[in-house]
Amino acid sequence: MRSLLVGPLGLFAAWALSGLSMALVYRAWSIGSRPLGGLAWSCVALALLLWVAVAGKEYGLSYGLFYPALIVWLFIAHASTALPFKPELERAAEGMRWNFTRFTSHGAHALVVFVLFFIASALVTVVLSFSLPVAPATRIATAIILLPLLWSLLAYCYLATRRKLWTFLVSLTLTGVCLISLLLR
Amino acid sequence: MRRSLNEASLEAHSWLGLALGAAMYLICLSGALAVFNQEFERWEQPAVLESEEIDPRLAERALENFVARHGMEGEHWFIVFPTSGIPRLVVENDEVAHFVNADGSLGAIEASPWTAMLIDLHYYLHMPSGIGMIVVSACGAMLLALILSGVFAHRRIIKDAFRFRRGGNGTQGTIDLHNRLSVWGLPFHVMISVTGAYYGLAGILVFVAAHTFFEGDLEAVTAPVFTPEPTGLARGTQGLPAIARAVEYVLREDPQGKLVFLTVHEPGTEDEFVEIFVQQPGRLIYAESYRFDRAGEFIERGGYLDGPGGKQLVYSLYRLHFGDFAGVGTKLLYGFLGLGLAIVSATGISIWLAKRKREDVLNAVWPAFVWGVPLALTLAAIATLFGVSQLEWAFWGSLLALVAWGTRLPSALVARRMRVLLAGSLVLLVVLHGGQHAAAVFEAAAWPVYVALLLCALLVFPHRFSSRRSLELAA
Repeated sequence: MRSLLVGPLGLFAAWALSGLSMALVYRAWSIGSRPLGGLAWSCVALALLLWVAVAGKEYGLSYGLFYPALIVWLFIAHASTALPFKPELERAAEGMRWNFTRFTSHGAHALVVFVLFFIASALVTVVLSFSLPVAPATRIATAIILLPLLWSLLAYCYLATRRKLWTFLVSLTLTGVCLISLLLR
Repeated sequence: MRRSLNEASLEAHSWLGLALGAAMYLICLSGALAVFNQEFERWEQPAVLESEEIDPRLAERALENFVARHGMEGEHWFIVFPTSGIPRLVVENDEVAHFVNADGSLGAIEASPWTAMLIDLHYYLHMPSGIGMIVVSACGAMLLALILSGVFAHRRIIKDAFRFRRGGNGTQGTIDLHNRLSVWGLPFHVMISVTGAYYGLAGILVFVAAHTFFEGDLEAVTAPVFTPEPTGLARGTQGLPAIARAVEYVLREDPQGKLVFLTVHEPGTEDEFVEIFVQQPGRLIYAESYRFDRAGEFIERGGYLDGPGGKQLVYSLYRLHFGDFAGVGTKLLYGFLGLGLAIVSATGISIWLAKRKREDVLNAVWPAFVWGVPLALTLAAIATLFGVSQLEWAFWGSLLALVAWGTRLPSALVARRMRVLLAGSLVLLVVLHGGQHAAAVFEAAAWPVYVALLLCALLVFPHRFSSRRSLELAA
């Protein structure tokens, strides 16, 4: 069985199943059928497994997860519609507006998001990942994945809320706790 | 008034997109092109002798000739094998690289200035490398925040999954393109952001961890992942390392592996040793390394192939990020998806501009920048053909000039003019390069790139319908 899967035949089968599963997802979407949608997504998962069987765990996962992003354009092109030509709305042409208060406020947000939250997430990441009871190499790998995740989460929470000061203070407290735990070591 | 999660997320998405859109576009577009860095490198010197055969004696002779010409200077000598992705044997130190002729003599000096400029743009945005890599990696991390806010901002993520409404005044098509590319490319985008964040930020993590847990000893942090270098192996021995013996050992013991390159560490010192990096089929790890003493005696493996999971994962990030595994098919996949991410960056700001109630100079600056970047890259490539060496300046100078020119045009016409110019420049590049390397035009190193450039010219050239509409809009 394994020898059948490896090689051009296996790759073709994985390609075909990926294409078929995306066609099913498209069909389910266009007729609005949930059961067919469930079946279609099961096929997508099956295609992913087939990719893994054909190309190995590492290459197979990459292919199975990334190829649908290309294949799907066949169906997007099929579903595309043309809107009637509509000239753009007349908009007032103006010079650049310059508002010092807004500039300062955006600058402050940028400082918080790009500098302070980076420091905060780096400290929290080091404390968390190097306290894990796992192999040293795993700690480093965890830290590498955790840092962008934490930083992006903090940035998102801060930017999406109107209670920015509160979010800022919570992250500052968290950082302080991590810093103290580092200093007490 | 309480906002919905969608509205709040859209606000966060817009803020981040506007703050980072330009940098993100530069990084993504240069990254999509950098996937083909080996192909561009070959194309810049298409007439060099190519062969995929590995001859250990030839490599040893080449190193002897290299040392005879350049002396013992440098902390490393390298031999890049023809199975590295570029079918050419190269011998080099930290300063200079030579191609190797069939008899082991030194050939032309390796020089691919445009590719180097492109890679520097992607790695550092042409800033000093230390700060540039941190900035680029920070953009990688913030891409994750953009993805997160983008997903939560998308109210009709399922309902619109396949919807693409072109025509109208163009805005709906731009929105659909942005959303479809983002949603379906999600796994790729998440992978790119996490692996991209690693390069610049890992150094900071290591620094913090070393000073917190290991009294400032950086190697104590990295040792579990990057096998420490042996010391004192060459004590009491003399002469050049027996690399032919080492290469023969690897070819015999790891017949499935593909030799990437060989490094002679600390040549001429008592810490000298030889390390050969070998790519493993079906594996994403950059390579397994084999270490030898000066006499070509095997010492140890780096242990990347079967070491702890964390070690393998970290060592897999490079090839996973650059799509440098499994040949041209994977590179094309990464190239298209990377280009998709660049389009997402460009259209994000275009959507914001289109939704504004007013129009100012930004409406011309943005399309001029978006089309100006590939145009400036092409102009820089043309500049190399005339011997210009400061390519970073050529790139940024032309980009600045193009953006300044764009601001003098009606905003609806900027993209069209730039596209015509880009298509023309691409054709001009092919003609000039082909003229300069006339004897090598049909070599495997040259013609695929010519074809790709001409195809790009064809694709970017504005077709009749869009030209007419742009003119109508401008009127």
